Amino acid sequence: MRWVNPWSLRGPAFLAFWLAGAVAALAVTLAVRHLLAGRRAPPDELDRLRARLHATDLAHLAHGVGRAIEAAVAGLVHRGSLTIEGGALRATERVPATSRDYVERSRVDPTYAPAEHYVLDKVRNDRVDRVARLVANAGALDQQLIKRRRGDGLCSQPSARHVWLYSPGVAWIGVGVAKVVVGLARGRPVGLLVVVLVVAGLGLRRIAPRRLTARGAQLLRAVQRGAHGLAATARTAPQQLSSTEHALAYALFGIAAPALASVLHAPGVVHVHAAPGLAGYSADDGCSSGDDCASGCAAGDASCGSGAASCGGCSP
Amino acid sequence: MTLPSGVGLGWRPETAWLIDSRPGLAFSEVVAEAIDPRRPPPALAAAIERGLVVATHGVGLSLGGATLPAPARIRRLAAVARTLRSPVVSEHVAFARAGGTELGHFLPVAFTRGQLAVLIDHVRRVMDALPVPLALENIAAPLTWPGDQLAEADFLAELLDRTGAGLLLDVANLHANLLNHGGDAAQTLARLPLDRVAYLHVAGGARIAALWRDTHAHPIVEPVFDLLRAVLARTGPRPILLERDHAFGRRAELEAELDHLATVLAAAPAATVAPPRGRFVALPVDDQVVRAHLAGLQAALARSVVDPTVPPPAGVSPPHLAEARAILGAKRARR
Repeated sequence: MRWVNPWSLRGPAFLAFWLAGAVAALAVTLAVRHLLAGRRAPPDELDRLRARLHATDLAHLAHGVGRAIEAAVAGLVHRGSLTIEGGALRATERVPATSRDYVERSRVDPTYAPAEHYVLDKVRNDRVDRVARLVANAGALDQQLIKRRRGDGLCSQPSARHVWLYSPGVAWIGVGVAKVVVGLARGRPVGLLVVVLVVAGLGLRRIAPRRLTARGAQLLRAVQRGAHGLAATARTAPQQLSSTEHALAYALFGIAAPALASVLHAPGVVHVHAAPGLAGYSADDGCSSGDDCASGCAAGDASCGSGAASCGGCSP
Repeated sequence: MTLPSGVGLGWRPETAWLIDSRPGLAFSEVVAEAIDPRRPPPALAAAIERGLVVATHGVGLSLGGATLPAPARIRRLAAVARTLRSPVVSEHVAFARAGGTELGHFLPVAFTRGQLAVLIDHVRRVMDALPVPLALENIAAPLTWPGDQLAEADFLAELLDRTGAGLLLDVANLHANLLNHGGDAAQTLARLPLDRVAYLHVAGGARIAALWRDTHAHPIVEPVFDLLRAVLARTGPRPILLERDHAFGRRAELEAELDHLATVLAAAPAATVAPPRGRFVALPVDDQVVRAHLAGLQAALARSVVDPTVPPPAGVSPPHLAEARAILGAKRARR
């Protein structure tokens, strides 16, 4: 096989050579991303991890701190710890203004999850009465939760990750840039190559590192798989659910009770009074032979749009 | 494969989470006509994937009608059973359409030998097309036909014996019929083909106007528990399904009913009592004449139920007809 010096290749030939290499670099990048996500957890460890996470923790893991706070509000309203008066939140319990490390506070007082401690603290002690403001001021809580999830091995560590993830792509773009320099020195046209390199650079930026580790994604998938029934019941008979289950239904599927319509307005939120029909289930035919049975079933089942890879909760 | 002995709960979106999260729930049942066999609800599919056993419950075949059940309906029922991996399919001994009138609810068949012959033909055809055994359910009859030749228990015994179908005994329906139309519970149980019980239905009801209604929306009353105990004393432990179709209330209320049923089931003796057999006489052979006669009667009743200006067939009790109209009216109002 004859060795080809890439610097001596003419424009179209180099472009073909470079694009072939770019495909290989992309494959390596994706493989590195997969490797950096770590190993999956055995089932017993998954169960142990799941047992430690509150619904609001899962909301944070799946959708970020905003969803965690909203899920906390949904659960606390159902529990009676918060009330809604004219669209404003009111705390019904006295909350000590102690540590603002809400993860630590939850460890000391496990009555509430970290996001719930945050919401109660802000509403009661700082007079924050709007969900939007709770979310806007939640940077510290977000960092605390991310740190905790990294400790659990559910969120990736960003520092080591970026170097290895982007190295193949950066190196190959570097080869292209070198060819541009060579081309300019030789007075050759390099416009097309520059355009290709710019597009490649922008594309590389779009390859987001995985926020969740493999076990984090695995945990979320398992929880979502096991909660389809929760989604169906949350939409059709929310009175069947406990406050934790309300929070979980909101955390995973964005399903909120009608009472929360005035405070939760996040995109994708489904209030049960407006729930669409349940996929694959016809409420009109859903009755058995009961005399009064005609089914007023406003059924609905959430199709989970929260892919594990879109985890917002581990964003640094 | 059969249904596991234990207590189950009917699957609906409203009960899906309870079914998913209640430890020890033995099985479930889903109304076949509510399910798209190519795309079952994710919650149901996931529960089956996790090992939930689900009976397929048909409400649309109109087995007791004068005309053959529509092949497309039978195929759909079979497809749902395959999708849900059901060990058993159940349907009702009743008709739900006649003379072009869709009732949207069940009316009772006449307990005559002609009706029996037609039902046997229909049941055999359906059984041939299903991938799993068929169980037939007794309904809560809002009215009775004049000129019955058989008691319901004897009618069911002969139907099951001649077809090989199983029995889905709805204890709440039996209770309603005994209350509304009279009869002795012990004598009825002694004649029912209880050795063929595939599973049992239990549901709540209430007295509305003059009659007891099997509402599937109220708590189970103590006389139904008593009747269930009497059934189990003869059958031994059998799978029991709690039916609830609306007014679901809080989870604790449903859980309490399931717990109560589990207690009743746990107290059931192991011994079973064999019912009487082999005293059947010949059935009518002129199928066309029988069907034409039946079609005329059922169409007349169906028309009078949906249209109060149409007089009922001779001998049908006006209060009972009014009850049938009220039930149907309530159902149509809900839709």
